[in-house]
Amino acid sequence: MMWVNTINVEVYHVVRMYKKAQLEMIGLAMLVLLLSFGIILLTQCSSESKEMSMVEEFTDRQITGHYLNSLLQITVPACNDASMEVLLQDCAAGEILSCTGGARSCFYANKTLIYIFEKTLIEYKKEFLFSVTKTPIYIMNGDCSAFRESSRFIIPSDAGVMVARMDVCRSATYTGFGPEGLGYAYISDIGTCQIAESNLLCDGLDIAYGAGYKASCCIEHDYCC
Amino acid sequence: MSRKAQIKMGETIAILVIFFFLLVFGLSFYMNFFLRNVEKTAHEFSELEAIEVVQKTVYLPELQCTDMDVQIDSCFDLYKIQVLKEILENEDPGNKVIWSEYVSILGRSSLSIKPVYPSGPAVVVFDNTLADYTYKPVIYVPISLYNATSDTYSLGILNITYTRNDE
Repeated sequence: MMWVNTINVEVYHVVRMYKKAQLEMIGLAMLVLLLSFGIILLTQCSSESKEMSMVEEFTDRQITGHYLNSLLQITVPACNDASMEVLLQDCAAGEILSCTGGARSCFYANKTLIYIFEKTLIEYKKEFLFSVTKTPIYIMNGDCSAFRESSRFIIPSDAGVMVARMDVCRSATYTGFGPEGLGYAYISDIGTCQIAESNLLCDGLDIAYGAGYKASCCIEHDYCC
Repeated sequence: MSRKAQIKMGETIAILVIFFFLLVFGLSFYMNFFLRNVEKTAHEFSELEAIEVVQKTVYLPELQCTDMDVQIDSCFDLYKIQVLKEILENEDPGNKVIWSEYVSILGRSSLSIKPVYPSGPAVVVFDNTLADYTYKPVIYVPISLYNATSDTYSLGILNITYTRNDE
């Protein structure tokens, strides 16, 4: 009877060991499966994260580079065939030129620029910012807080040196332009900029009104430069 | 003893199965990664070719405006565009010397100009695109268009379409 019990215990141990090994094997297999699944997921995710292609980058660079040159050259028939550059110079220097219907240069320059942007960059779903210092022209489409390709053009005028600036922006989501996006819009207030400059408080503008306010004063109103 | 050997054999088989599974998985993963890299490099080459075509087109002396023989940047002469289009269209089909010259410069691409301000119909100057392409980027370049008769500049978009078939 004793030997029967001993055999039973041995068989029990062997069976138990065998089951334990099986369980370990299953655990190992599951680990391998989970690991492979994880790696597949990781590679999928990394391949799906869209990088900006060379062509896109190049197109943005072409737009910023060539746009300013071309825009400032164009002839505006409604303003006695004056070029856009002349129109902007006049806009900064007190609006002497008269366009069709008695409209002034600032109005016509802005109207023409908006028309051109609507037919080009907005149609191509590009986010951009176009501004000319010493004039109220500040046209923005979409979100321009992210990376941008930028180009500047110096325009000499009676009102001083003007800077035309074209930025092509790139944000995560394109929302299109809202009613506040297009047209005349100032980031900074001329009065605030003037007071800050006269009281030597320009450095405090970014702290009081947010980053970029001092730069906006400089670009938009020629204060705090 | 026989059972122990069976268990050992089972273990060995299981290990071999896992080993081959890992080997196959590793190989397929490597192949996938390798093929993707090849595809990416091919795509980059296509992109570079497209950019090269655009750069050549933007600075084509036969289209650029000149002022006292000095080329003006970002400007095409409307009459030069018209003349080039006519030359390419009216060339003898049996002896297309000028066409083949442009094919060697612009390759499998098309070149059209759309006046934006004042607006007008698009002019296709050159079209040698592939019908069955695998890659077709379209690059827009803003340019001014000079009319020598009225001495005025208008705004246009130079539309360059590059095609390529990698299959």
